[in-house]
Amino acid sequence: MNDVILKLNNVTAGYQNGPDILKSVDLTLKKGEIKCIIGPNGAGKSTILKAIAGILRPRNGNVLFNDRDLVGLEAYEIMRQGICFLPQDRALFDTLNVSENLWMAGYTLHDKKELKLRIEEVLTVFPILKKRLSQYAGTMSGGEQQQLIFARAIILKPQIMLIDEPSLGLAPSIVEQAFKHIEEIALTGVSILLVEQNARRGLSSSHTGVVMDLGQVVFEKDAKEVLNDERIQELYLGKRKSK
Amino acid sequence: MIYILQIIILGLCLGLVYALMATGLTLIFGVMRIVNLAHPIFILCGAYVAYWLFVLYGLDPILAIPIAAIVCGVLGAIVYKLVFEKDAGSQKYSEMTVLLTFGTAMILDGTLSFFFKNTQRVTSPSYATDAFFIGDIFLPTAQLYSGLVSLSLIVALALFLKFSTLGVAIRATSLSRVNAELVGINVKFVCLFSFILGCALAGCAGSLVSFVFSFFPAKHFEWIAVLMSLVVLGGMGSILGAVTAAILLSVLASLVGTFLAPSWSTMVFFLALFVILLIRPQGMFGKYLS
Ligand SMILES: Nc1ncnc2c1ncn2[C@@H]1O[C@H](COP(=O)(O)OP(=O)(O)O)[C@@H](O)[C@H]1O
Ligand SMILES: [Mg+2]
Repeated sequence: MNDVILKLNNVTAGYQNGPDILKSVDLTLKKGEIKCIIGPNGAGKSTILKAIAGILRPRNGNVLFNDRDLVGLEAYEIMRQGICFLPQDRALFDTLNVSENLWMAGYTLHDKKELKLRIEEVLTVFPILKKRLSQYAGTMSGGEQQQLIFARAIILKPQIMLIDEPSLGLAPSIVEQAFKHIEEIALTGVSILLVEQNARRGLSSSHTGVVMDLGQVVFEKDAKEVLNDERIQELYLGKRKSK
Repeated sequence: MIYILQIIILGLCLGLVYALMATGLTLIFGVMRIVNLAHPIFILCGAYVAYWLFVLYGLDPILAIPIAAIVCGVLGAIVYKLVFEKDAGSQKYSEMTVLLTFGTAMILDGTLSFFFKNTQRVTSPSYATDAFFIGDIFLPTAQLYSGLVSLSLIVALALFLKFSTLGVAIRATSLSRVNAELVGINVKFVCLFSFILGCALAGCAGSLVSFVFSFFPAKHFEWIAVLMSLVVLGGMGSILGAVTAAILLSVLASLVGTFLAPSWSTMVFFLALFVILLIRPQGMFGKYLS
């Protein structure tokens, strides 16, 4: 758990001609680590993930993945290196069926026999999907869509998963299920960088917590320490009412 | 009764040709949001290829289909690289492409007029004047062949889009460019490929059109109006929708042409467009405009 797999150096990024949203961000992610980024709305949490995934090209700095700079690569090239981005808006293909969604998740796998095996494999992990193979992804329930997203993500056995707000719009029991999947995936050696609005929930499944504000990393600590830090509780976690 | 049946079958055959003419247009819109006003020019190019291959070498226009497809595909690749690739996916891209494709249409129209003048042409293979009789139903061979070939090409396209990896990737890209990139699809390549495929389909349609309709360079103005009505009616970007619209309207047009007056038949397409824009602007199968 000590080898750094992803390292952001001095990353500055913004949208189109707008101002810098990320200002010299440094961040590291280790193998098998779950790191949760928290912070107020508009802090730039989603923007960090987009900058890593290549949806947004950083204006400055570099993103080192196994010591190779990713800045300047197209999103699909970064994805092919083994970094999987699960954006906030789900990113399923709504009017493709489940089977086609899984098929597309393995688009970059040229050995189609291998792809078939891997689809079989993820279907044993997510048996509900097996009954839904010919259903449009967009017509499934929130929980089923969530499972399809994780199923899609693990087909390519990525080294890093970037997950934006996995709990958004889901019922509490399904949020629990999602975090259970995230923890299980990390146990297989995948590193996970997570952004979570529900900071308490996110941190309690993570190893480390990062607090962001105004496009900068305010500090980074053990997830437990962040959870217990009084000042953070006040500022970012919504302090529990004192009796 | 038999008379009506015959008119319906004739309308159906022509409808399938219209459908083939429209599939490329709707495919290109679906994947790239390019409103390709130059599409009928590509059809014309295909028609001229088939026409000259027949006149010079006696090649049957149905057999000329692959050649017309290749010529139009290559032309499409050049036009796409020169005009459309740079700004793909940017804001207001669709609006921009209306002007760009109109300009492209004018340039190609001028080029065709320069070489081929405004002479009306039609390819006349041996079967152009033949007819089949099934019972009392009379079927011009040319119409029947063009309808059947169109149908096979449309079915082949549908199978490709449904069952091949690249085909599904094309559908995925048409749903969302960003999401397609996120699963590792090379969206730039998919767009280029779809544009070429759309133009190649125009070329195929052109070969068939060359012996069904008479044509000359300015003919594309008439076609774009009809094709746009099919594409809008079907729901911009929906191939199934465009094909359905083509068949329905063409059958309706041939009934109107027979029982009211031939000059009224084209009106059917525009009237249908007018009505659909008033009551259901997203078209029969549409989602993009809703
Ligand atoms: N597509 C976009 N275009 C322009 N500005 C954006 C875009 N997405 C986000 N922003 C801006 O970037 C800032 C950070 O957004 P984001 O990273 O989404 O914050 P959050 O921490 O809530 O995820 C916000 O001020 C937002 O307005
Ligand atoms: Mg966000």
